[in-house]
Amino acid sequence: MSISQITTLSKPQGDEEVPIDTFAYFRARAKRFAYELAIKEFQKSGVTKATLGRRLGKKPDRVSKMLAGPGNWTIETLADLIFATSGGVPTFGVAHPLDRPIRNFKQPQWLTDIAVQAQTAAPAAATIQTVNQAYKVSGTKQTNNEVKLDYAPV
Amino acid sequence: MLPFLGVAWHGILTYMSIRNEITSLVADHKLHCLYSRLTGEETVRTLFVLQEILDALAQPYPEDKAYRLSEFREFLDAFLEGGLISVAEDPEMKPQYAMLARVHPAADGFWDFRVTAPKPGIRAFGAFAEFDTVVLLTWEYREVIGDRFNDEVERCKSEWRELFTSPPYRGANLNEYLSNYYAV
Repeated sequence: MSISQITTLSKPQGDEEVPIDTFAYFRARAKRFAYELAIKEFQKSGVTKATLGRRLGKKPDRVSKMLAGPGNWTIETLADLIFATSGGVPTFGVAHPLDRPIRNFKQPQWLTDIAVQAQTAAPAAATIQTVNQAYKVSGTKQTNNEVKLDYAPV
Repeated sequence: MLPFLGVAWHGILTYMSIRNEITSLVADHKLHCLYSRLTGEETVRTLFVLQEILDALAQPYPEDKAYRLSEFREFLDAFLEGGLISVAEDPEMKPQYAMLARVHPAADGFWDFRVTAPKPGIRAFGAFAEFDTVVLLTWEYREVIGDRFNDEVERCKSEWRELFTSPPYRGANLNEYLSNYYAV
């Protein structure tokens, strides 16, 4: 069975409309970064949830809900949380993850080690392949900024 | 099952570590090691998934589900990359937007990966195999689960029993389960 984890995340091209699932992916990522920023600031500040709630003019259960995840966050939520926490203001930067050189996936080392040990211990078991052998990288290419990593059984 | 994988074999199976079991399942193509779409390299955390989940993550997505499935994939990538994860330890008191929550009964060691936006979201179920390493076995749209949440948890447990002789990993506290978390 071929196992492919091909990604079709690609950079915007010309006048082509960006697919909605690509927007969904990067919106979720941006929210997650915002969440991590606000939570780290909150943890660093030593401010309690009760104090934060009073500063925000919100009840404790509402604050707990806000801090639990960025599900319904807006830019206003981020700004309010950071200012109420420490008087800070979020600053922004832009990363281009799809511009980074493609790197092959590396499975956990222990997975490789155990498979190799098993093969060494039972060389007669010819049908058992190490995971590296079973999942040879059959193609790694970059076409029109589309990242593709194909893993296929030998 | 591979009898030579770390097993003391005296006519009965006496011991097989979870790592050996996972290695065997990956070699048999029953489990797949997921990698992040963005980094593609060695990740901070590790996720093993069943084909069922790999299929859900494979593009192209169904048009009416594309947004939600893409958020699901992003969540798993963020987990792999070591992103901050909010964790609810009490299955009965989890905040609406917690990303990761224990499921009842907590002692069984199963967890719910919660994609909470856009509502009604997606739930995926699995268990830790060790620190920062999760085996994710089942998933479903939240509206499909409805009030059959416990049935969905049971389906995950059943999958686990089918695959593993070892029980899920159990840590003494959240520090023994994962890095970079925020308890909610």
